[in-house]
Amino acid sequence: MIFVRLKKLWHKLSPNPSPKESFEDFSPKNESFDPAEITSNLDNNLETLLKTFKNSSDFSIKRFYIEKNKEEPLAILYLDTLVDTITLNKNILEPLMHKSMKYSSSNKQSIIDFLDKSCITVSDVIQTKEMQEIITGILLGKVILLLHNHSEVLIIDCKKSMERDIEEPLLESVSRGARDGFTESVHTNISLVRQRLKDPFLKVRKLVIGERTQTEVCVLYIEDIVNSSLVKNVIQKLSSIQTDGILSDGYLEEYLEENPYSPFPQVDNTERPDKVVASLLEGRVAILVDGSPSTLVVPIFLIQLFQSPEDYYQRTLYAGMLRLLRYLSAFISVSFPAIYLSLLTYHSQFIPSTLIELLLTGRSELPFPAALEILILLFQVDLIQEASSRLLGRVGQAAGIVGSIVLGQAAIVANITSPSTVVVIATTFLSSYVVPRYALSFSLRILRYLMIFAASFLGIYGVIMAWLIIIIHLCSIESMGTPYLAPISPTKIQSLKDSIVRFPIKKMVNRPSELNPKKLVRKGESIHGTRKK
Amino acid sequence: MGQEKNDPALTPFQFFSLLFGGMLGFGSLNISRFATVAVGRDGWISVLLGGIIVMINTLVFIGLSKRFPEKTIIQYSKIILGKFLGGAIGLLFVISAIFIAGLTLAITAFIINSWILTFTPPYIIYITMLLVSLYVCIKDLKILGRVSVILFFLHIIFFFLFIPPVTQMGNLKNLFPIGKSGWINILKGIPSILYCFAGYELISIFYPYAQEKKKSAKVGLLSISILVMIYTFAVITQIITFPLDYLKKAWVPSVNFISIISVPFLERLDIIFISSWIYVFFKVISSFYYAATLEIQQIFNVKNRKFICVLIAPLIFSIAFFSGTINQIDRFTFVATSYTLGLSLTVPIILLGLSFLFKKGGGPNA
Repeated sequence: MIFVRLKKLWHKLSPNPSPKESFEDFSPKNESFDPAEITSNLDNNLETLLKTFKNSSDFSIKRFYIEKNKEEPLAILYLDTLVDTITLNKNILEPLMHKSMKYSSSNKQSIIDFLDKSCITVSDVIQTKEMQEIITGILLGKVILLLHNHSEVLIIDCKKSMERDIEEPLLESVSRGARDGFTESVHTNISLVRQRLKDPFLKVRKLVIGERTQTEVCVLYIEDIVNSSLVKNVIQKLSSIQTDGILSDGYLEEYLEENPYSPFPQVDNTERPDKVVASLLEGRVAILVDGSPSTLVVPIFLIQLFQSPEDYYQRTLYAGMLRLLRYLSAFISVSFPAIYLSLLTYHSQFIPSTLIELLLTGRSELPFPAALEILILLFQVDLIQEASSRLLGRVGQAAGIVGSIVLGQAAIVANITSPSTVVVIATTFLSSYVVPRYALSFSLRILRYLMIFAASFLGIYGVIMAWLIIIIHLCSIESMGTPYLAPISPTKIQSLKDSIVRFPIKKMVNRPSELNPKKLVRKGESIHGTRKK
Repeated sequence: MGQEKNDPALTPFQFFSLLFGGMLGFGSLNISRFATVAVGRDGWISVLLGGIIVMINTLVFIGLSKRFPEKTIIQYSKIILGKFLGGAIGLLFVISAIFIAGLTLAITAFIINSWILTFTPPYIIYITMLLVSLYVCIKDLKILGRVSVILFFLHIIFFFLFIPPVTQMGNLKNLFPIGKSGWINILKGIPSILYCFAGYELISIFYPYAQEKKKSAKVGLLSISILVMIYTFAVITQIITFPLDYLKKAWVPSVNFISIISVPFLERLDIIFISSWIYVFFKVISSFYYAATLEIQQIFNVKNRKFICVLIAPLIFSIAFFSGTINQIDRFTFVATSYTLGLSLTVPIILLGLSFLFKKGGGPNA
């Protein structure tokens, strides 16, 4: 009888009601070592656990007696590197040693129930009988309480929180808007989202991925907005992952992508809570990974990668102009060297005579053909970029300045390049930094080489063919089943309000319809209701 | 595949731009030459009238497609005429599609050779263009639809280039008196104008793949009427700007027309125009290429369409390769498009008549 009750209790207490994501499911299916069952003999149990945690110097066992009950010894076990000592002393040991005296066996409660319900002052306490759960619990920073003559065990949450302060994300800084960013703790990150989004329909589904790392992955979505097949798709893809370790959101990104060889990122990642909330409100799904400050957002469109949260905090015209600038700079970043190369080598008759004089002065003394010259310069600038990003702070800046100025100047003086080529390459690189996503500027870098290759063989025709290939590729990839080029193609007029330019926020009444949200209109739907005057 | 249900994948706008891109081809560059050679000053009236004929013909196609909403012209001609005869009719369409694709490829290479890449051998252009077309053709139809939407946005911008030359050099008197060439001449000029509209028969192949049939039928007509308007506009502006004799002799008057515009940082604007028109040619080649593979797949009930795509590529290449000098290409193109027009003017009317006679088709359950 008591087993049945406990099992029911366990199901009530367990945080995830659905059996798919429950605790047991993520225990290794066919492990080589088979932990023994819990017995009612304390020494036997301790021996089994000691064997499991052999050679782990941070594994601690403390044995003691509750007064009056000298014949029933207790033991608590934990990894002292993971456990918060203050909580352990104040909320577990102190009540165990003082309050437990009030227990009398005449009570109908068993001693384990008494300890659980009336003694220990920690909110998250679980009773269990499974050895596997105990081991997982110890590894998660929980304290295990074993009693002699009882096969039930208490798992008490006592995890030490180890995290840095909330800081502004380095790569996504804005001049206006929120300055907080995600940290490595998934719980802090969820609370940052919840603080901004006070909606009971915001759901947080927990998954544990990685057989050895047991990484906590949380899928966030607003239940009455998001398309349910999208959530199902995401959860299915995530729970089918079989690997020993997930160390960062980048691992999951690769599992979620449908075209791993595409140069374009098909999953967005951000460290900004305000951006995650905005995406959730549009009907997207966010995936938070413990141990990584960046959060994945699916599905995404290409145009989204050109948007910054700042666009919505600035005035419409300013934001629209910035966006146009970004599209232009992406185009320049990909094809400016290629167009320059093809004009110089194939189509010089199309350049006005004054300009061609300027471009060609001194070219006759250069030892390299134009294509090679451009490639050498691009390679050098790539080197500078990588070097300065690997070095710390000011050293990196110094490397960048020294590299660019000295190399550029010296290359011209040494007749390796012409000044106009240096100007072209510098413009190209500057414009690649305008793109607000690091991942996208990387893909633009790859495409730039494709363009130069095409231009050096086929001139402007090659550039056009390369663009056609890119367009066809962009049209054919999808992010979680949503066309990547939406809302431009397939065209959605309403969603175009927030694409190339941004319309005033008052005018953007609808959510992006290509995400098939359950509720298309953005107002008058909350459970809080519209505010009464 | 084959007789199975065709998956509706195209949104109305994709359907629109797919048709538009298929029709807007070489004709956009040289329609004013055809109009002026055939009629003279009043060539634009023939263009308008020719457009109306094309639209009536499209209505016949749509009427047929409405009787068999889920079927392409290959599939319903098989139903109406039987497997063998229907397949033969289908083959006629395949031949027209392959020839149009191949000849457009040859014209593209010639234009690129004479404007952009003077010394590049044409076969390199054939191969690169065909490879890129192959890349889009082995993918689903919806991807061709998405690509054509993007290209539609890209090349609709360039029609605004037709406006500045008129304001710089135009003389409205060139257009008057209207109707001086004589109405009989204007009517006689229509057949050679129709040449520029070839491609509207694609509606009978892509219609079953459209999502909203009723809207798509309207949108198909709309795309043709927009094309007619653009062509008429092009002919009118060029007649206003250029002397008639010049228009009659220029091979691609539209390009010469654009090069009137002078920009300080570019010596000649026509490189931008020609470059952007490569997209137009690509659209024509890939649409007909795709249509040809789809037709072959449905005639022979082949499962794997990708295989057909690879198989047809050398065929299109050899048509372009053996088409010869530009005069021959011109003549071949005229023959191929006349053949296509003959097909699209006669076959659907016969099929529609027969389907009424045998009471085949009619409604979505056909």
